Amino acid sequence: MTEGRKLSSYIDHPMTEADLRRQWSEIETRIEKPAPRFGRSFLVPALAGLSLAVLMVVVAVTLLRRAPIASAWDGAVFDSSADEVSVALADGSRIDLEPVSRVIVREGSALSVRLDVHKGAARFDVPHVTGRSFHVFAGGVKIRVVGTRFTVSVAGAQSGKRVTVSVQEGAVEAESGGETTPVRAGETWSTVQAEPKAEALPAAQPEPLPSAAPPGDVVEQPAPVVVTSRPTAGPPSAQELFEKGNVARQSGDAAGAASAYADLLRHHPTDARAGLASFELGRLKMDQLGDLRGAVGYLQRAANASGAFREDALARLVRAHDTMGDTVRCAQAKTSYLTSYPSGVHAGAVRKACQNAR
Amino acid sequence: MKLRAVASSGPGPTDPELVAAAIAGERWAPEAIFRRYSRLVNGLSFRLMGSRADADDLAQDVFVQAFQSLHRLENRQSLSSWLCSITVRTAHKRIRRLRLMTRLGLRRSEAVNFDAVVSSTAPPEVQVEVRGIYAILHELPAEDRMALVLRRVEGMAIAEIAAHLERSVATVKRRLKSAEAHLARRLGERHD
Repeated sequence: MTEGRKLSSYIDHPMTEADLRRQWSEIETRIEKPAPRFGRSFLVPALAGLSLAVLMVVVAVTLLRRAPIASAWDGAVFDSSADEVSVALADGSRIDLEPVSRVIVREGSALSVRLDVHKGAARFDVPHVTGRSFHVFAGGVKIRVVGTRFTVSVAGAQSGKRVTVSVQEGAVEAESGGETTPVRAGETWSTVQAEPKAEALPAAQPEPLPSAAPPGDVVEQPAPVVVTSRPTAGPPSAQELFEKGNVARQSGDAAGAASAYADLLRHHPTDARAGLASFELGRLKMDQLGDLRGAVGYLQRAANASGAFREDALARLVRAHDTMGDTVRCAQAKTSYLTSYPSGVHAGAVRKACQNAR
Repeated sequence: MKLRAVASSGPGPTDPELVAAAIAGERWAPEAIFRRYSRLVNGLSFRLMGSRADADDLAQDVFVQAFQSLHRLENRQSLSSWLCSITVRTAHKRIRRLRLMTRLGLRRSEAVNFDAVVSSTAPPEVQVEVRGIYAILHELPAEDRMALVLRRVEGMAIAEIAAHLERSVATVKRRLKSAEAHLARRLGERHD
């Protein structure tokens, strides 16, 4: 991209006062009469297109339903003992089981993936695939996934099983006791589910999904709680500081953005956004505030986190140390990058950096 | 309602105050929000859609949606970011719909008119870059197109694009890679 100004600053849509008046008038009319905007010139072709689309959907559904073939994955059980176990599914999803965990594949077809976290905890990195549904079940909780990264854990509690869902990226929907709760990036949701009377056998047992509490039981089921780390008094919440930083950065206020991200790191060092805030802060100091030395600490912190920005943070660390002539640290960062991302997007540039040091 | 002059900057009401007033039914407040953010929304709409007519329709849809769901805005301080998100998501839907209509033969696929897009004051290298991007936008799948414009034109971070598009970072990276590859291929063809 062009250095300095963003391309967007050269692509504007100047509006005259008359344009604004006309636009506001139309918006105001639509707000006051929120009727559907039919009657446009494309109504007839749109209806024709809709009919055709419906026909195509009917044909597609008929074809897809003709021969349901059980996947070879169905019923598979993934167990981890003392070590973490990683599983890559054909749709690009990745499951990392923590030690002493078990995940059962209830269904693993091209149209639907349904997994059961039977015990322990597992991290899921699920890309969005059009037409494929992805659900994770844990205790009596059903988690609907669109495309995201999150962790599900099941642990014993006094009154049953505690199911915890932590979302690192994107969003999921957790369904429990008939209630659906959206859980977004940086949020953790948990609930205690009553133990079923008989524990279902892992692999051979088919439905029902998800397991509800046995009929007639008195169930202690506290309301699910979304923890968003918003204090009632004191400094602004991590969410507010993160938003403030983003808004400042988008409006070109690098110093303001850096200040907001620094506040976030100071007041909420363990928040899920801290890693990304640290990376953004390092990037701002490096690219816009001319503080290469100051950038290094934040980039190192981002590189120590586990976010998707880690690769970029490491590559920037290499570049920063190289620019400052610190060949030892440059070589260390270079080794870290190439060990973690041997074919990463920055691998070429990283290999060329601080060559005198090797 | 007759249009009133509303300050778009300076010591006017803050965003949270404007949102609170709009939710409370103060009739001046939505117009003040529109005045304050019309440039932001219209500019982003124009850069995402590439035509004035589509951008105008999109901006109207964005403000109508925003005013109808203003009560759901949890962090009133982040009004501008929220409006950007609505703009991106609505543009994404609109581009997908336009592509469908094109596939069904109900609309002609049109390359973006470059001269109408870039400012005449842009330096030559910027003009070349913008021309390259906007010349291929209509050839890209909707999600690739959104990712490319948000990254290359708006200069957004990948995590930010992922949040706006409600996709994972990995997905956005894949979409960007695909769009960049297409862009590089087409630029290569042009230079051959």
